[in-house]
Amino acid sequence: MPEERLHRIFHDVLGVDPNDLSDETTATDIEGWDSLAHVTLMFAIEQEFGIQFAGDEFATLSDVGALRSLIESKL
Amino acid sequence: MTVLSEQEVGRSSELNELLRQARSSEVPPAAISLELARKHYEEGNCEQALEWCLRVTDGGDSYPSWYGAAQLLPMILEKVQPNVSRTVRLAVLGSYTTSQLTDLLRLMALRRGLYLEIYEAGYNQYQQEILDESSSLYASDPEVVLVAVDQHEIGLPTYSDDPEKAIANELQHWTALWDHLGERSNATVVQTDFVIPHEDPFGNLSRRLRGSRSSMLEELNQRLGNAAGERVVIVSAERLASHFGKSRWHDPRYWMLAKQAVSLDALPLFARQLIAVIAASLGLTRKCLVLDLDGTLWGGVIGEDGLGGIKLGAGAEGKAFVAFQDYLLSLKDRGVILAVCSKNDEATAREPFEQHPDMRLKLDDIAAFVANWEPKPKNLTRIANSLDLSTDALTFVDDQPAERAAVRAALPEVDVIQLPADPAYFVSTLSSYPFFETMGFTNDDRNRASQYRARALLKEAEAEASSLDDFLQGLEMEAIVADFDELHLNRIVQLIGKTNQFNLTSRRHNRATVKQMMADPAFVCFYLKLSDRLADHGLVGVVIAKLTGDAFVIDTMLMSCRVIGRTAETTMLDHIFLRGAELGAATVRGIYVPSAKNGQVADLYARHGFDLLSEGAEMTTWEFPLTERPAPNPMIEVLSA
Repeated sequence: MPEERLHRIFHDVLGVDPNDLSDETTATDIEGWDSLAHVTLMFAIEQEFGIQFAGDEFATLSDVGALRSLIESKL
Repeated sequence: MTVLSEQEVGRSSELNELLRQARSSEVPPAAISLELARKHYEEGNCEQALEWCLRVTDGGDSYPSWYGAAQLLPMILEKVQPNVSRTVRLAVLGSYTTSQLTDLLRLMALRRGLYLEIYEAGYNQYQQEILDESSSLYASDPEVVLVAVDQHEIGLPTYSDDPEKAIANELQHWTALWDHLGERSNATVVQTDFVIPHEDPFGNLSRRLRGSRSSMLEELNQRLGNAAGERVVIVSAERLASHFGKSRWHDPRYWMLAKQAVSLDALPLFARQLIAVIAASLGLTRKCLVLDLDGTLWGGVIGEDGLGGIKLGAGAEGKAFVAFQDYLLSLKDRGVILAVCSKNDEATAREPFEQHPDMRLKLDDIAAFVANWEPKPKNLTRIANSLDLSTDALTFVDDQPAERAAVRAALPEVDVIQLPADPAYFVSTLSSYPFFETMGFTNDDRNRASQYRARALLKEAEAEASSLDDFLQGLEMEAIVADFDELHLNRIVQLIGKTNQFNLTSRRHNRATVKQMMADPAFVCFYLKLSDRLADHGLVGVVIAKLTGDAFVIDTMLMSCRVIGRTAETTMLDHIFLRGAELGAATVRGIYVPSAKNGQVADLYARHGFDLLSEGAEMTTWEFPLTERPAPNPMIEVLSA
């Protein structure tokens, strides 16, 4: 289920269709996923899952799958 | 906005499902409004997309939704022209990352009818931009400059042996920046004060040490407020952060990672407050709070429970209603007009005001009192008319969801405040509504309630008087006409900024420009104060005219809507003729620039015997030869200042 909730957040913040998302999706695949959007995504994920990212975890995520694994490791 | 009755016909099933979800709550949550905005945008319904996009700001302060709406907004605006009352050039200067804040400001401003043209300075470039005369800041010719800085910019140490000197140095630094801005720009400066971090190595001792950083920051904030005077507007981030929770307001991770001094969580609240203050600095503020009675000012129903049965004074709920009334009184005392709109028989509705010992509000505090069984939207329009306000100056408060929904549907320009179920929270709900912000506190503000009440009473007298002349004579009006001076400048600039209806040219000169005109001998700048046997209306008229060749050209002529219909404009024109003749002008030239709201003065010059000189869509120009000066207005006696 975290995957579905994560895709939902991408949809809420960026307006992207969840069907277009997979573990391999990267920032370059999605219009609007720039550094500002990234901070917003991380913030929305923290709120949704009740977790906190360490400062260095923010910037190092290469794709949606890495983000999903990181979230799962914190649940 | 008529979105809640939006037609489902011809819409996709997805869209209709969303509309159903939106209708199930009084104010649709931000996420749903955003979904609707996106769906409408995808389906090419750009006007609805815009409405729903702006509605996101009404549905709670969820940052991700606001972010989404702020990103969607520019795309929608490429396809549809928004309805705005003003366009404002805003410069945002920050000591921290302001990109997100700037986006939200644009969104929130448009929700309040302001279209922002924004110049955003680079991260932490605020000092360079202010100090460099040739900076992009000044090139952008801003009308408002927001200086959004945070306490990391303050050089105060953890402890100082000489706090007086340390604070004075810091204060001097900021006031010098204001001076530079003032010299190079006519913009209104909006500065945020400094949030005092909870972290202080001295802990509780910090309060007793004037040299602790916490104490010094507090003193600095206070002194900044004092130094701001009338030239700078302060938005108290410290006050907002205390309310929001300082540990949530500033998240050190986001500061270290992205230089976010204000957490994303707090940005919607911050943006709303900033826009309320920026709008107020332009004279756009709500003037009148319209109150329901049963369930709002007291518990129970007066028509059924009777004077002894309503909850007021005794018990927890009774005390809560008294506290709410006390708060309303303090709002009234600082210039917010109170009105009543109740579904009741009038005599029954008045009874508690006249007889209940625990009523804090008296009939004298209420400028317009309407109690009947007609629909509330109709009564709100009547209240606005009786006070010579437009309905977009009203804010409505009612405990009944159905009444709120009726007003939202019929009069979307009225702000509606949703009271919580428990009256204990009425005060905090109303006080977190920011759109009664004003720029100063003048004698006019203090007396406004009685002036408006007198005006409403006069409207009744007018209906009864046998002729208009009799009515006007019976008012025993007196005016004072005098040149602008420092003492009245606040009020004058306020009127220039906000007067919409009786305003011939709607030129929004700011304080600095007005001062330049006062100093220029080619200009004549005078005001008019009006009083009658019932009320002193204070400063209500403003004229700026300039001798150009042999014509005396009226740059600005406006009058507060509270004295419309009293012939004060004729007295102002008398004085214009007089001053024009003194300067040796051959003619007086009047200009009328049509706006959305000033239709009532389209024929002002015609009515006063001016000849039409030229006519166009943008403006009409009128002329009056000074050889034909008329007899002065007999209805108003002019006293010397």
